[in-house]
Amino acid sequence: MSQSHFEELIQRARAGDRSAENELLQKCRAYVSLIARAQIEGWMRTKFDASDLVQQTLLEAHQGLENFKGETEAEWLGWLRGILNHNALDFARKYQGVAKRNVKREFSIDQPGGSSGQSGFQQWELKDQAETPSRMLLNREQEILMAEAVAQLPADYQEVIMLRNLQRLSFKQVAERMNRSAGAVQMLWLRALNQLQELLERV
Amino acid sequence: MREKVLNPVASEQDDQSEVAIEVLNQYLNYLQAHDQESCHGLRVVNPELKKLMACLDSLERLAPDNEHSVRETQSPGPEEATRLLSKTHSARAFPHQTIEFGNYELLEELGRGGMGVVYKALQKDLNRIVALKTILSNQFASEEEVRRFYLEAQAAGRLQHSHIVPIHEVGQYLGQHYFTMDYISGGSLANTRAKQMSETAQTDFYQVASLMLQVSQAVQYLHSKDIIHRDLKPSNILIDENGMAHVTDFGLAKLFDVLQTDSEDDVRTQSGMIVGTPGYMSPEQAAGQLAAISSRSDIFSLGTILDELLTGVSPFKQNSPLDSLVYVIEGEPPLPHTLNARIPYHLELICLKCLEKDPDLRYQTAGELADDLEHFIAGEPIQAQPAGLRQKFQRWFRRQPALVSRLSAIFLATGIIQTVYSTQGMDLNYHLKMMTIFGLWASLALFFQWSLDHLKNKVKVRFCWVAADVSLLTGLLFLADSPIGILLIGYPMLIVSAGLFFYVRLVFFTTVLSLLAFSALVLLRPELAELWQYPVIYGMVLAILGMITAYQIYRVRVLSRYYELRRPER
Repeated sequence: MSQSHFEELIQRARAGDRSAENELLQKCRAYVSLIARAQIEGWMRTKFDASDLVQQTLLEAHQGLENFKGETEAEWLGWLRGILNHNALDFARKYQGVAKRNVKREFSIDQPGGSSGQSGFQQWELKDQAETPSRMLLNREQEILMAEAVAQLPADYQEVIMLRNLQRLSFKQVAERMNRSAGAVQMLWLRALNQLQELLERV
Repeated sequence: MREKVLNPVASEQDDQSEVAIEVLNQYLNYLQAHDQESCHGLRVVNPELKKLMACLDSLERLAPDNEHSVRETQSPGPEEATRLLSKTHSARAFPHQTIEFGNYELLEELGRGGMGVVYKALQKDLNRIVALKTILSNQFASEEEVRRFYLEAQAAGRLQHSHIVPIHEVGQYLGQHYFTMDYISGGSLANTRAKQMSETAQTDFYQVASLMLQVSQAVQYLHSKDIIHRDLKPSNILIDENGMAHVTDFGLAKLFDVLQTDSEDDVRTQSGMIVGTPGYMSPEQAAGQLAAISSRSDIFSLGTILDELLTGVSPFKQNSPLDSLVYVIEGEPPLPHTLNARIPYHLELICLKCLEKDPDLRYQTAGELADDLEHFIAGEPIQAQPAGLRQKFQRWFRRQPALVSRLSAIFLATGIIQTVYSTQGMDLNYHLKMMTIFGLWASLALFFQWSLDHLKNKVKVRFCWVAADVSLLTGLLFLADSPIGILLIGYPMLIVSAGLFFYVRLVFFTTVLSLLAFSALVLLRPELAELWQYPVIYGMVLAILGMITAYQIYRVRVLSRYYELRRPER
């Protein structure tokens, strides 16, 4: 997938080409899904099926396509990320209500090391995911490819990458979460990285 | 082949993995702490993990709250700017292609040795291009590695010779040891060789000889400075744009004077490791006979290089390092002219003299070798003589031990039978039958040796060969005049000789086959079963003999595994 091909897709989609739009949204599915999971799982501290959130985000992207004014893939991904962010916040607001009633005891939603008065949820909510201009300038194609590669990994490989890389937990915490020894988790991580690299080279 | 599955390579890989995990985890920690400088440092030091680090980079960009980090590096605020300035090394250096390394700029990676990466680098103060060699990883290098590194630099720093790459500086940057030497633009013999050999004119052999002459002179100079190179190989011989050879990489140089003057303790640590490159090292190095390693070991390595230059094939290189080692110790490569008929006879003689297993039979100094190469180029008579009959037989035996041992045994046996026949004049018919079987046996041996050299599945050939041996022996014993009791020694001999292939299953196979053949023989020749307990005892002894042989092989395999683990390089 070359950059020009990606931008060509964006142009054709904006011009009303339905197949181009489908392809574009499909290509970004793994990307949206990975980011959604990283955000929500990082906060909930448990596994989360992000497919509804992804579906909602892609649907809104489809419906609001005429509002998208950008041309580059960076702008496109930034826009998608904006929609996702909006939906994730919505979800969090709803979930907070539920959590207060039902699951508060099951998951501790306090961030490790979070300040005492502030709940983890609020912290997460405060971190706004809006795009900064500098972020727009980065080459984003690699991120889409990486997200696709992660989605192709076996489940336990995905989990270790999700926890160690995307949620930035230490191996000790990852080991606790995955119910394995730290050594086993580390080996798993190395294998996952190796496989990721192979997948990326194959593209 | 159970042993092969649980092999040493696996645990070696485990160690490697552990180091890799440690480095990558540290890298990710730096990345998550936005410590670009440390990331950069790790990247320089561990080029072999570069791709995985790139993966970590792009995963990090996917992680949710990294806007913060991007903002920080892209547009540093006042505090960040001072923080960056306060450090010796600007974080902005590394988006560029070149990498800052103290007084040097690393321009490109030239290659990797056993312990270091070599970069083409710009020395900024003198504005010249040099080759900069580093140790692969800094905090993970053992004391021993650092010691070897400085030893190499010290040894090389004292040298001045037109065919030796001069050393400029030894030092340390960000905990990273390095030294610099002249940059030779043409690449090494390992990657220019193909080009040279493609245009194979007769003159090329003179070019090869002249190249080897330069290398021998350089090695002679090294030896005169009491340095044994110990790792001569094509990739350590650099060729400049004028086609001149330059010897480099004294990583394994063993200093005579260190051995003599340092304490015994030191000697042990220094020589405790098996170093060198399998495929280019001498038999005494491969066998770990450290005391036997001398300047003549380098002569052997020069011989392997000459052989490779002549034939285009590395003479002792096998699939696994261990096989290469075993081959160097006891194998004999095919004669160069069998691979390329145009190789001048005298050059082959020079090459073979270098490749003698016994150091006393090689050239005694690199100077002698250089002289002979000069004689060859000038068309004068050379010192190296064609192999004598005994040497020829020895080489043949090393090349085809299974064939030679069988032919010798058959030759001796037929000789005795013929003598008996000639003096006592027995039944001609019986004599012919026996001789036919021996003849058949000899031709089968030749056939199997041919198959072993030309077919891919060598293991199957060996099994077939052993099966043929057992059947022919049984046939002979069946036909032989009574009493044959003593001749039953043939079966144990077959079992033990099957052990020479170092293959446990082959020994078991031979043992079982021998037992079956022996049972058949007992049925066919009732005289053997006159006292029924004797054949039973014989069979049991045969089985035990097979087990002992198999056990010995197992032990050798365990030792070789240990040997492979201790070898510092792959």
